[in-house]
Parts: sequence; C-alpha cells; structure tokens
Amino acid sequence: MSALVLEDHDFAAMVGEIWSSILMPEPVEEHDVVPVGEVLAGYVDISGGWQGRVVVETTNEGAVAIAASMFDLTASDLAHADLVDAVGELANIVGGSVKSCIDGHAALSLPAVETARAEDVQGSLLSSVSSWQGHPLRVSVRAPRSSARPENVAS
Amino acid sequence: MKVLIVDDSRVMRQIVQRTLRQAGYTDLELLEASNGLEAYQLAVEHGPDLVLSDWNMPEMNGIDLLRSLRGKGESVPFGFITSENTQEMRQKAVAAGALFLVVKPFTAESFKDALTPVLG
Repeated sequence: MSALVLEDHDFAAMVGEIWSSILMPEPVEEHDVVPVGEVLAGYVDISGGWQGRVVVETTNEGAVAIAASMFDLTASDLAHADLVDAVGELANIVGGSVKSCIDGHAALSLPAVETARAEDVQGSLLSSVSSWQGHPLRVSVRAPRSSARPENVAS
Repeated sequence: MKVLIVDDSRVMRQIVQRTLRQAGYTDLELLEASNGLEAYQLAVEHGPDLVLSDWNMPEMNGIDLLRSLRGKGESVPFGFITSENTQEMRQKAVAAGALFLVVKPFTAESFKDALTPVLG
C-alpha cells in the first residue's frame, strides 16, 4: 500500500516554489483570499497505490491574469482555450510534484479544466491559498471520497 | 540548429521557447508538436538536432515517442521536460535512450546544464 508522504508545511513550501518559478511577482500565501463563486478549476488525478486529485482554482479574472503572464500576451489577445491551457498546466505541474511524494508506483492523468463552483476544502488532505496580483490561487489535494468532481456549470 | 518542442500544452511550448532564449539559445530553428504522434512525423520528416519532449501527452506519450524513434533507427538526441520526477521514470528514460530529464518548473540554468552537452 502506497502513501502520500507530504506534510502541510512542506506542501505549502512546494507550492510556493512552483508559483515563484512560474509567476512574477511571486504569489503571496494568504489564507483570507479564498476563491468564492464561479472558478476555473484545473485538476489531475493520481492513481495507483495511492489515489487522489490535485486541484488548482482561481477566478476567471485570475485565470486571465495568469494566462497573460504565462503566454507573455495581453489579456485581450487571449482566448478561453488559453486560460484552460494555463490553469491545466499549473495543475499538471503541481500534480507532478505531489506524485513524486508518493512512496510507491503512481500514475498521473492528463489535466482537465472545468468552470465550477469553488468547493469547500475543509475535507481536503492538503490545501494552500495564495494571492497573485490580487487574485486568489488555491491548490488542494483531495482524497477520492472527499473529492466529488467540481460541479460543472459550463453550458 | 533545429529543435523540436513537444508538449500538449501550448503555453508550456511558449515557456520552453522563452527559456531557450533566456539560456542563450537565440538562433535555433524551432518546430512544435502537441503530442508524440505529431512529433514522430515531424522528427522523421525534418531531422531535428534535438527533441525536447513532455512525458504525459494524449495520442502518444513521450516515452513511446522516444521508443518509436529508436525503433525506427532515429538516433536524434532526446530529452524530457516533464512535471514528474520519479526514480522509476528516470530509469525508464535512460533505458530508452534519453539524455536528460528536466523537471517543470525549470529555469534557464537548468536548461543550460542539460542542453550544453548537445547544443554547446
């Protein structure tokens, strides 16, 4: 039986390192800036001896700002597919790092992105919330039973 | 020199291009593919000097791309750029003939370290 060997503070440090490598200026860990309402949620599933989901959530405005920074484009040059690509890639990168903390064989799914309602992360195994350019950016690791798929509100 | 960048994420292909420039590789001819199958066809057709490939992709993943190229007798230098970094994957990559595995997120320095032996 595999296990996820990752404590809260190590998870927060890992996420902080990833954000600081991808987003300038560095996002600030901030517990009060929680995404509410409709968000863009990117996730990857980890399967194998340990199973779970890594979810990255931000508001639509946050996704626009993040995608603009990652693509090095202005917001008006971005299509919705670019936001999906950027948020999905963030989930993929964090998911890869979480996977490397599993002591046993595991597989990572391709990233998926949905417009969803921000979820209550009380039941999450791990959670880290940051603020980037005033936008909330939350990452959580959820066990299968506490991680119903985000409600899809896209038409 | 010709470098083939393979990743299903368009933003990551952009970031790889930007990082190559930051690492000092400013006069490369860059080709792009969004999965292993597309990359295989481009590699056979254009004969790149280096393939930089993601691992986890739809259609054909990176390790199958590498194995297919080697199976065809293509000895193009090949490196992985992936979010995953396990011992198991590194062993698979080396066994299949990869020169390096750079982990996302990466820096211009990590690109230089990995690419200097191939591109100078």
